[in-house]
Amino acid sequence: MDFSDEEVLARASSGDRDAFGMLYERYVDRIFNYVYYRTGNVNDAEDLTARVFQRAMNHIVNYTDRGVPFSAWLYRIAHNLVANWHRDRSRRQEIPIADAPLVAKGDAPETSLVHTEQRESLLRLIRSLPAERQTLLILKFVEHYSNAEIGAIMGRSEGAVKSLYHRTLLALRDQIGDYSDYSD
Amino acid sequence: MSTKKKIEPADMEAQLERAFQPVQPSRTFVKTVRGRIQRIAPSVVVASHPASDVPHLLLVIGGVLSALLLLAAGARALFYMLNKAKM
Repeated sequence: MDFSDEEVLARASSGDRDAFGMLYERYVDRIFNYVYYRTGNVNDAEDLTARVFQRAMNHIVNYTDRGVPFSAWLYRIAHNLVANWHRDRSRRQEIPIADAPLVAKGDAPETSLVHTEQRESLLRLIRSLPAERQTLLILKFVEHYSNAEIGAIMGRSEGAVKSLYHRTLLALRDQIGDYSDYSD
Repeated sequence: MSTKKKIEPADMEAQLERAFQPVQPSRTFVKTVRGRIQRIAPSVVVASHPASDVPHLLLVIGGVLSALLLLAAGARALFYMLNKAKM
């Protein structure tokens, strides 16, 4: 039987562990993706994802529906934990994204290598953006949420998300080097 | 001649689309955390923060204040009677 988020949430809020387990299964992939792209490595992403759900479970009884999706609450917890993680690691050297490299099928090895390097440098660049811009890009390109849905999660209006997205694209373009070579 | 061209927003979006591929957490990890959720004692999960129960909190504060008031009145009466006995 398929329960709605509201039904499962009501049960989870009254201490039903099975209901919380259902919520966990519904959202674990999304939270993992968010944390993975914010941290850049699988081990930390797994550790932080586990902590997000641990914290959510400890506070689910205090959860109040304020008209925003439940995922917004989870993303908020994830955002705070990732921020703490970055603070803790600010004195250490950055670990480059090394796991799960994507190699396009059919590409020649040297082409694949170029694509992987381009992807990694773009991800590094994205991780240097302010947190809210990273969140926006992850929600848009990994989760394929609409501007309205992203607005609900980030606590902004649809227009504000659209504007922030536009500014983020421009900032990224400027940071990439602004221009690419071509021959006449 | 080599000149330079601005990256179009559409090209930028295509690059982002390629960079952000959905990733899957390992099944072992998902199962381990799921198991941990099941093992946590229900009392830990249902325990609510005392401060969140406002009527209960008001009742406790009211009770404490009443008891203090009663004690103060008792002490005052005692002093009054002792002073009267001395005189």
